[in-house]
Amino acid sequence: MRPKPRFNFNRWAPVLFVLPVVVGLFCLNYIPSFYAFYLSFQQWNLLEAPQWVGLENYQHLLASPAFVQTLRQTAYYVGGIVLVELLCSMLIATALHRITRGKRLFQVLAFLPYVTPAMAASLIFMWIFQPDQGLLNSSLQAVGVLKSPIAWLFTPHTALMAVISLEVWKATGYNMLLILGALQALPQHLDEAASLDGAAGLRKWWWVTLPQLMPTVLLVAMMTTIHALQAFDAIYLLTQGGPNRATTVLAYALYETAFQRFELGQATALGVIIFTIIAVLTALQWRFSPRRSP
Amino acid sequence: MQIPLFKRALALQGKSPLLFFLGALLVSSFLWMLYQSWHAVLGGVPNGKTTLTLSAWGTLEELHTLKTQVHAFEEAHPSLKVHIRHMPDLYTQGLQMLIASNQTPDVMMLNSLDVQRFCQAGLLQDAFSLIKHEQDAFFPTALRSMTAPDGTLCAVPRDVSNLVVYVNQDLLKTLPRHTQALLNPSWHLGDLPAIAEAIANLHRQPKTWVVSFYQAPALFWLPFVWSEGGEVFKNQTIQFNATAVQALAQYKALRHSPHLAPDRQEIGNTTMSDLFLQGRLLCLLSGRWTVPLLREKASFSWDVLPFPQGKAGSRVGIDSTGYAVSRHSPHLKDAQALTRFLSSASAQQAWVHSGLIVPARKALATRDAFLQRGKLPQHADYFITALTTGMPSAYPKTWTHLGQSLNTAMDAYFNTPDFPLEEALKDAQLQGAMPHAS
Repeated sequence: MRPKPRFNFNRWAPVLFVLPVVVGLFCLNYIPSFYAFYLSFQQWNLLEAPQWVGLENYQHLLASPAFVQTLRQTAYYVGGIVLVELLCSMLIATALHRITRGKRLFQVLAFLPYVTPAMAASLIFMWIFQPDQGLLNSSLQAVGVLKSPIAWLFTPHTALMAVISLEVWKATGYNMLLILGALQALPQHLDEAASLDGAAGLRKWWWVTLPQLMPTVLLVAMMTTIHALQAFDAIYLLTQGGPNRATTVLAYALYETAFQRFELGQATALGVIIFTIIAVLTALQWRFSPRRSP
Repeated sequence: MQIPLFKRALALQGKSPLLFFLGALLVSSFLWMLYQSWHAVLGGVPNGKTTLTLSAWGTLEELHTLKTQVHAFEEAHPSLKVHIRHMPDLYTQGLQMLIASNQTPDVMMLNSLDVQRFCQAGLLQDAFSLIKHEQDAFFPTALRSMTAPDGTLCAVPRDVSNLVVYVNQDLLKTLPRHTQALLNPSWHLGDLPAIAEAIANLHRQPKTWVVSFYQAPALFWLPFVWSEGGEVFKNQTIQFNATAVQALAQYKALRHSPHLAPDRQEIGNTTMSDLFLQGRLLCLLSGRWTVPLLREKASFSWDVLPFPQGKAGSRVGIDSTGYAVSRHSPHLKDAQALTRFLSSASAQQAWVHSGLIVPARKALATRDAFLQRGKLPQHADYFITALTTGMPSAYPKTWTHLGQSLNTAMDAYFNTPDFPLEEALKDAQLQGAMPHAS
């Protein structure tokens, strides 16, 4: 009779080490996600038992003008953040890549907003945008650009822009570090070859540097898009979705539907829509991102 | 030779004792935290005592008052232990999450708005038996605001809340005598422009206004509508009558008349109570809850006046806060005993001392303990007279949904000049809220 094999720890160790994370992911991520998907077909106010309503929540959302307005605002918000953040972080990263003195100091300074708590940052921006004693209005009035103060956070046309500026201020430093890292890792020979061929300045940057940076730029764009689609804290702290719903984006609308209107079914349907948008955008990014040659 | 993985992991111990120590500290703190949370939720019941759960909101001072009362209850009932679930912020959200996860507290502190919703969802035990021998001791409006349409008393009221007008007496004294005389207990909504003119002449910099302005919640603008005879709620939904539309337009005009009420463009997110404390508002429309704040922070003399009269008198909304017993409580009798204790005259007296509430018991409201002679406000009795002229806020059943839509509509309406109410209501999906053209 063959002896019973001993437990081979080395064979099972990887599984054992990974198991807590997998269990955690299932319990805290996948199961709630599937339950949320199931809830999106129900009507539930957190007080009475949920009722099955089929596709009603989705139909209601898609037919609602408020939802269309929210989608439009989300597109404007996400587009604004991605464009401005990418532009700023590429500019700062390129500048920092070139300077030789004080590089570390500038890196730290650019990264500081990212580690500033959202609450503190929001308080600073509230003061900056305050109509009567705010920094922005006072400065613009002092140089004669403005005659009368603007309530930046309380005017429908400027409120979303004001929130975007906070997000850009906070996240540019982080994106800049990613792009700077990619810039520093680029092989020098292409740059030198382009210089020998007579390319210089913006032309060289556009035709030689940018194509090599594209995988990182696309990754940053994707991460920023996902982050912007989930934006909540800055809006909650600065404008609470107002004025006149002008800063209500998808994630804030989800919170409002779930915890102010207590319509959990519609809120989870909104969550499913946000998830679908993110999934489609991620798939597109994977599809069109340039593959590195082995 | 291959070294087993776990030995490689343990090898860290020799290489970096500090890292190992920090890791162990992290894991043990996490386990300790888990144990503490577990203990707080499920354990901590010595000698087989029954544990009751009581949910409440409020500041730390309020929590202290509540804890004192709970200790007194526990001393009187040695077999019971009360666990307070204090949720200072987003209370309704937190409570509904507890209910959804089958952790409904045995006794819940609720405002009259939530009482109606919770009662209609069949969550609350009829509380009439708790006060049947002393129902005359309570203000009828307080009881009415806690009563469901089918007549069930869903909670025992602890306090009643209404609105009065706080007046900056020092600022008032700077105005001409005939203007000062306008601010008397029977003043009229039509007096506001004359006061604004006087303020505009004397207080241009910094800009000063007559009265606070709120676009939400509705309880702050409803008195301007109700006092003119307007109606907003009908058949469990929002339906403005023609008078209400007119009164609302007058209220909106306050913002666009110089020095009457602050415009959001002018003050941004400065709160009305901050403006009042800065001496830039002559009158602040608010409830009894503002008294402790003003006593602590106001650097000027102040008093209260009833809400100004319109064509239908001075009509502010009356809401209540009270204690409700969960219908599904496994310790129903004990929960009722706790509710009876917390709504007793002695318990309400403790709240009255804080100056924060108008007690729901009539006898307490007329005593010196509430009126607090010698302390501001000098005319605290106006909080009581407002109870006789005001009306219980009968919000529709689906107010959490409708109220949000109404807030959205009012945000657009109040903050956009020349934006008609009809358009605002339509945008907020409140079609049918406008009066039908006859």
